[in-house]
Amino acid sequence: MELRGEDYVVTYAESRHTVEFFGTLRLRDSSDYKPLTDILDKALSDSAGLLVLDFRNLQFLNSAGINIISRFVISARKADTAQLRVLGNNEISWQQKSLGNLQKLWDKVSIEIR
Amino acid sequence: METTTTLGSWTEDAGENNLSDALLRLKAADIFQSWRRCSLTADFLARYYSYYFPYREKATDRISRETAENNISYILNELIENTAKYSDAADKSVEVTVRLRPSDIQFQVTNRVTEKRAEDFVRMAAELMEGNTEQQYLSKLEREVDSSGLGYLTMINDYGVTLGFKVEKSGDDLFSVAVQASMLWKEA
Repeated sequence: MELRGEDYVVTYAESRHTVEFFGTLRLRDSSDYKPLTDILDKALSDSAGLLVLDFRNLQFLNSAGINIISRFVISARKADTAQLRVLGNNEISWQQKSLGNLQKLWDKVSIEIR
Repeated sequence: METTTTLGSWTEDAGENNLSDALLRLKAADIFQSWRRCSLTADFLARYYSYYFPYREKATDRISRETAENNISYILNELIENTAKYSDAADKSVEVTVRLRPSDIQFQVTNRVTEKRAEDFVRMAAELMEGNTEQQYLSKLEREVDSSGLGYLTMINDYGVTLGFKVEKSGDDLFSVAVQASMLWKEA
């Protein structure tokens, strides 16, 4: 499954239980982010215990996008059906600064920033 | 509502000590109509100002070029997106100002809104300035709706930004809303 915009690509590899983000994601609001929310929800429902969110190639994410990811983490916490593993890149500021906040929403999220 | 309201650490620009200034005046309608212009404008100014900063290997007392470009782009994009979402007069201008100062860099955006929206804005800004922004951030996310102010909270919590606001009656029943975000670029 793949979501492609002018500045970004999001892929969902079902066999690896991994959602990967590429480019710059700066959409207007939660209705523009709906297709992404749908992919995340689907990935969670077929996760079989583990879901990986790989942001290492996402240069920018705006606060509307951070909102979407954060709310997804909250819904995963409520469902409590899968371990979330978040991969980040230490050379990209927003990841270094903001990804850690996901753990404050759910302490079971594992975050690896390299 | 008051003719002029200032909140947070609003500063009138004295100008004389600025190392650099830039001002872009855009038509509000342009950024409503083509959303990607927000990101484009932020990226342009971020790249432009990144040249003041050395590459990572040489950045000992200040943020590196890579960090500067990333941080400036994030902050400006948030500020410009807000003007695109909340301007009420498509024919009016949105102003984007950057001031490089001796130890910080200040971004300012100004746009025009109705009195109703100006009041909502002042209420939101006052809440932000009440402090405990970490808690405000987390509780906003836990609530089902209302994510307004989330961008400002990420700037404060994650980028160490200081905010200032000025809301002023501008004639023709509109109010001008100006937001300043200042980020330190010198590091100890």
